[in-house]
Amino acid sequence: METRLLLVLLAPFALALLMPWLGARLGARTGWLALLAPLTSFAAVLSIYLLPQDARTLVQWPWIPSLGVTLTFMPDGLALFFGLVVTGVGVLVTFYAANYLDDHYRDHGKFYCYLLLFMGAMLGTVFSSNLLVLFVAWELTGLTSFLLIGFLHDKHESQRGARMALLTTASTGLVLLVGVVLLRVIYGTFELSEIIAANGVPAGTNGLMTAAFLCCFIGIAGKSAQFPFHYWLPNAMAAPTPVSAYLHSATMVKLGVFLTVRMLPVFNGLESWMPVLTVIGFGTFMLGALLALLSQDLKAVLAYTTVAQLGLLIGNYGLFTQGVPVVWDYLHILNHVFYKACLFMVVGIIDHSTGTRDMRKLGGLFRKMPVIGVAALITLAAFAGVAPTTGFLSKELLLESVLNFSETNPGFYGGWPLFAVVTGSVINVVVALGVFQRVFLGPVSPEVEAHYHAPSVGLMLPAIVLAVATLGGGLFAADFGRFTLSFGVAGEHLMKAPDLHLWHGLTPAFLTSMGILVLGVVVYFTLGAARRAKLKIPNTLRFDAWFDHLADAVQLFGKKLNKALGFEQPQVYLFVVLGTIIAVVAGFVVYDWRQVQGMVAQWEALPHGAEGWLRWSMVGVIGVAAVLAAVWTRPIRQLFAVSVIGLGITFYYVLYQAPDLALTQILVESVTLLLVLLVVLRLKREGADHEQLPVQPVQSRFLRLGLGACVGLIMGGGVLFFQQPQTLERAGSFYLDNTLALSKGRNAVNTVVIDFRGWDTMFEIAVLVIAALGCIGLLSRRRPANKPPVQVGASGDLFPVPQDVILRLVAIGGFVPLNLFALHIFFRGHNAPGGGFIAGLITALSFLILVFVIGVHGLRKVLRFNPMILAVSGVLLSFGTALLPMALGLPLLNHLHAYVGGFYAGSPVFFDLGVFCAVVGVTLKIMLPLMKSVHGLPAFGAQEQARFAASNAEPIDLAASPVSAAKKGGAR
Amino acid sequence: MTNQLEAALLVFVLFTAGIYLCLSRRFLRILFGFLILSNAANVVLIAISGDPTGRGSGTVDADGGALNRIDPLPQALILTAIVIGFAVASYLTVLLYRLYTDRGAASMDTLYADEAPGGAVAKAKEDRL
Repeated sequence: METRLLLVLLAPFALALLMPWLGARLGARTGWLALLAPLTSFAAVLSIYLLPQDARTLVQWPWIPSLGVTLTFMPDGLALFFGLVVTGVGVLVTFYAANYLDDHYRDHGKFYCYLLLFMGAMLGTVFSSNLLVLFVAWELTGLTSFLLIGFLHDKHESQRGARMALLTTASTGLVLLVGVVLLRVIYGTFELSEIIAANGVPAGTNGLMTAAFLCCFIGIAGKSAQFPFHYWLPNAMAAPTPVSAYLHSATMVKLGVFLTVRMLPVFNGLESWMPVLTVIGFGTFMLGALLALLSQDLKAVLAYTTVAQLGLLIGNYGLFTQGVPVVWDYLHILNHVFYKACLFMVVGIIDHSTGTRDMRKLGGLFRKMPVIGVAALITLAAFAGVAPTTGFLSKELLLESVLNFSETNPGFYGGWPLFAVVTGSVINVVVALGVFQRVFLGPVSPEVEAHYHAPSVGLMLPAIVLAVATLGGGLFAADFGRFTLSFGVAGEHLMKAPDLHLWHGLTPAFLTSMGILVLGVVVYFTLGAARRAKLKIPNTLRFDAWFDHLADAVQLFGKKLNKALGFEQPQVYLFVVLGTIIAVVAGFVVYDWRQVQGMVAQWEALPHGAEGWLRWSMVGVIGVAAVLAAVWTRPIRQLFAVSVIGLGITFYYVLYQAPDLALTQILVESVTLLLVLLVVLRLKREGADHEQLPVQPVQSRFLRLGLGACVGLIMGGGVLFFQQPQTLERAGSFYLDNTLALSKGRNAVNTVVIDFRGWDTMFEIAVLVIAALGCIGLLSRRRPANKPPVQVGASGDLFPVPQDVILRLVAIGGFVPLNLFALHIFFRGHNAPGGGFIAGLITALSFLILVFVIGVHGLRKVLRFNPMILAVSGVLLSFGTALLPMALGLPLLNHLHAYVGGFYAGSPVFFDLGVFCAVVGVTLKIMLPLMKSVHGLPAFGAQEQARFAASNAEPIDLAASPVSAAKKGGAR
Repeated sequence: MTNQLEAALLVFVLFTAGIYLCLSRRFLRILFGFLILSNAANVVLIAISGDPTGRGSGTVDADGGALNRIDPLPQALILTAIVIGFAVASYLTVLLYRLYTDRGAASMDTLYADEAPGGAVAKAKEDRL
């Protein structure tokens, strides 16, 4: 059981991680390998389904025991049903995508990676039975769908659709979290099985339960695009068609339906269950159908019919309240999955073959592609509810429930579902007729004729399979019904029902169904072709525009506020922040003056010493340098003063018995000096370092000085009064006493860094890599338009490589000794001052010195490696060393100690090696491109530029496509 | 008078100079101020870790004896702080450099000037499109 479940859940994730790598190599063919994941998961789900009922047991793995979060997975009928849908449609969609995403698309690896991640998240959601795990997976589906919708991220509508989908589903998801937490408050557990076992609402929590239900329902409505959140789904259609077919018809939007069933035993007894679900659900059904009728884009039509159908499914559950067992819900869902996924694929094929989805331009495609025409005919028939498809069965059963419901429940709540279902269904018939007639019949327009090319068999196959399923399910109604019943969950579903038949007499449901069809046809022809072509959605019903206005209003509010406060420049805030800090501290001092006096009185009690004069003189040097740095106006001089400060502090560290710090500081200071010098020189060359600025009043200088002095007083006073007492803190003495015993090293500073507090270091080098990535981003996306290119001299360099022989000799000759020294420092680090940080900086510096005489290109000729790869592998090495003990059953970062001969070779050495690599890689990756860039050369080679930066032809900037944004009130 | 008075004075001078520079309009002065401030913060940490007079460094004796030593923990924290400070400072440097190459601005005034590329005038022109 566990292995099968692991296979189901992990296959998509595991393969997803390989996809980017495969995608770079295989391009458009990646999809065929991606197909393995849904196939594996599908087989595994099927194998669980075929197990006898009692062999499907709960599976638990601990995750965060302290929070009561366990990875609980329950393969019950519901989970298996949705699992089969997700993986089964997954197989078809991946197959379809492999045919659809040809070489015109880019980043195939990324696409399949996102798709498989999404699939894994879906499976996680449907199988998990711990509410918190369910929530996490639920949000993961939202995130991955964001990536998929925005996959064509250089198009404005993709950006808009993705943003809208993410904001809507994620914010409603947060409300769902509130609901989950409320349930935890009520029942004291996140485990769904325990909540259900509690059997009913604990006394006195009725109000809380209703709140929990409403919160959960908002989550459901957001995900399943129910009114008033229905607007995001049509906009999500900016995604490539396989994504629409998968996420927005068959799986993700069904999650709301899924959660409704999952929560059914918990909330079913509430009085609000029936009204909320039926009113919102069936209301959305009518609204969606109406909007579908008014749309002209084929994909939008499908999206709105999906909204409608989801409303129908959710509303349907409202009919089964107070413990009445649910029946035929799986049949409704499966019916929708079959025909809607097929229709989406058909639209994709049409788009692919004709280049348009606008119904006003299409026509006569039945003759062009008869197979697809037949598939569309079958699925549209199912959509309209015409026999002998599954759609007919579904509608008949639904009408039966609704009719029964209206008989037993008089009044508004009884009549509403019937009214909504009939009205919506009539509109559906009109929409189905319209789509078929306008797309497949009539003349072929010349534009389509010009663009047309026949779709491949592989592209058509999944759609045909689904169309056959739609037809087959209807023809073999009895078997189809029994199949859906087999997923029933005891206590929720009706487990046995009479066999279904296409024809079972002149029942009221049958008569109503026929009436809907007739009425639909009549309305269709009265409406007429000319009027249909002019339909469009009125502005009041365009909720997406309202959403845009709301999103813009947030930005606008910030801007307006800024303007009202008079802070046009963000710099002003720095003054405000500092002023606030000073005011707060001053307030405390005044308020608690007595205690401050007490502290001053203790002054004499503090110990006194005689060694201070050396430190005093250092303070003098540093202080003078600091004053000069502030007073001087020439950047080169200021840089000199700042360096003096840094080097003075190096010596100060020595006096503070901190040799490790002194070594690190002096090296960092050197690298920083080089870095800043590069920029200063560039600015100086172009005269930007002393450009004329408008004269500021003298008061402003005094204000700055005053603020600085106040902050200085606060910090200096803090140093005086918040001292560590003479005896060491417990933590400090613990490290000192145990450094040799526990960490096999004598240098406590080093062992704290790499062993005792290895966590800090691990993530610190990750921060280094992140900073380097940021620098790469800044350097690679240089917009050339605003600044004229730098005039490069005859030598090809702004700062020519010096030809001085002695300098060259020293730089090249020093390279090997420096690195030997670094090696020495690296290995002695454990027992004496030194270590990975310091050694890494020395090595990086040795390279930089080399670059100064042979140039960046010269170095690249000698050394063919990418520093970023070195940095990332360093981080991975450190993480690996940290994780290794876990494989042996020890806690994380529990270092292993070993000696090779007399030579220490424990895991801390490898951890430190990772730090070393990360430091070298990051330093070089920041410095080398900057060196090139300030020399007036492009920071990266063409190949690297392509990897890091958006290509110039397709700018990412939102400002680049202002036309549609400006129309809607300026999205910037 | 305590031994630590000089440290307090040092911190005072460094923070005053650093904040003063950070509040300037020119990018390079802001950058220098930032560099001074990141050093000053480290000095605060080492200063409050206690007076080193008459104590040994964080390297213990060969037999593990650790009598009368400084506290190694603040030093380890500063060690990482120095390196992270370098990463952040280099990011700031590159950011300012990029602002210069993109906008031609080397000071806040130029950056937020209405006539600058991307400034208010240019924005208004874009909006009219």
